[in-house]
Amino acid sequence: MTVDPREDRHVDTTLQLPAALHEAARTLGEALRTDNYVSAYREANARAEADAAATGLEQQLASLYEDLLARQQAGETLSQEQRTAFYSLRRQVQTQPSLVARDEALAQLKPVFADLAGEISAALEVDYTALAR
Amino acid sequence: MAVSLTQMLAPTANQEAARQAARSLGNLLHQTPTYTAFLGLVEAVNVDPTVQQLAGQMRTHQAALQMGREPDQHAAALARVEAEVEALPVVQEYRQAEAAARRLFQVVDALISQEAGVAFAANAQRSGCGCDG
Repeated sequence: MTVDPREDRHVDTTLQLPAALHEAARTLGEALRTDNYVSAYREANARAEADAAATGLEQQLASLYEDLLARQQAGETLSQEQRTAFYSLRRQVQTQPSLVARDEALAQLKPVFADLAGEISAALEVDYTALAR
Repeated sequence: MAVSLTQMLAPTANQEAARQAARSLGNLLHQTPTYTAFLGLVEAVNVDPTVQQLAGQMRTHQAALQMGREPDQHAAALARVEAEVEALPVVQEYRQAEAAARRLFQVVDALISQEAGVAFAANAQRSGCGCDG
C-alpha cells in the first residue's frame, strides 16, 4: 500500500514550479492535512509504526513474499509448506489490530482524495492521477 | 438538538476549502505551457491520418489475437505496427510532451503529499486494488 509521501519515485526535484502553482499545491496539501480523515489516518499510521510486533510481522511478510516470488520466477514450484507458511503469516498481519486500524483509516480517506482528484481532473479534462503517479 | 441528514451530509468548511483548492490547482495546471503543449499533441496524434491508419491495423491484429487466430503471425505483425507508430515524428513529439507533463504533475503531487503527510495521487485512484507495494 502506498501511503508514504516520500515514496521512492522519480520526481524531478530540479523542476521549478511557477509561484502560483506552487502556492496552489501547497494550499491543497494544507487543507488535506487538517482534514479529519487524514488526521485519523496519520494517527492510526503512527500507532501502527510504533507497534514493533506488527511492523516486524509486516516486514517478515514482505521478505517472504519477495523470496517466494523470486523462487517462482526462477522456475521453482512452491511446496505446500511454503504456501501454508505464507498464508499463515499473511493472516497474522491482516489481523494485527494496529494494522487493521491503519488500513481502515486509509480506506476511509481514499474516497475523499478521489473526490478532490476528480475536481482537478475535471479542470484538466484528463485523469490527474494517471499523470501524477 | 438532533442533527438533520442534510447537515450531516453537507461538506464542512475544510472540505469546501480543499475542493476549492483542488479546482484552482486544476485550472492553474491547465494553463501551464507544458500542459497545453501536451493537449495539443494529444489532438495532433488523434487527427493524424497515418496514426489513424496504423491504429486501424493494430485493432485488426488485436481482434485476431483475442479470437486466437494465427497468434504468432498477428503478435509479430502487431509488434511491427506498434514500432511503426512509435517511430512517427508526431508520436515521438507526443511522448516527449507526455513525459514533460508527467514530470510537472509528479512535482506538484509530491508537494501536495508532503504538505498533507500522505501520498495524494497514489491514494486518489477510484479503481484498482490499491495494494501497490
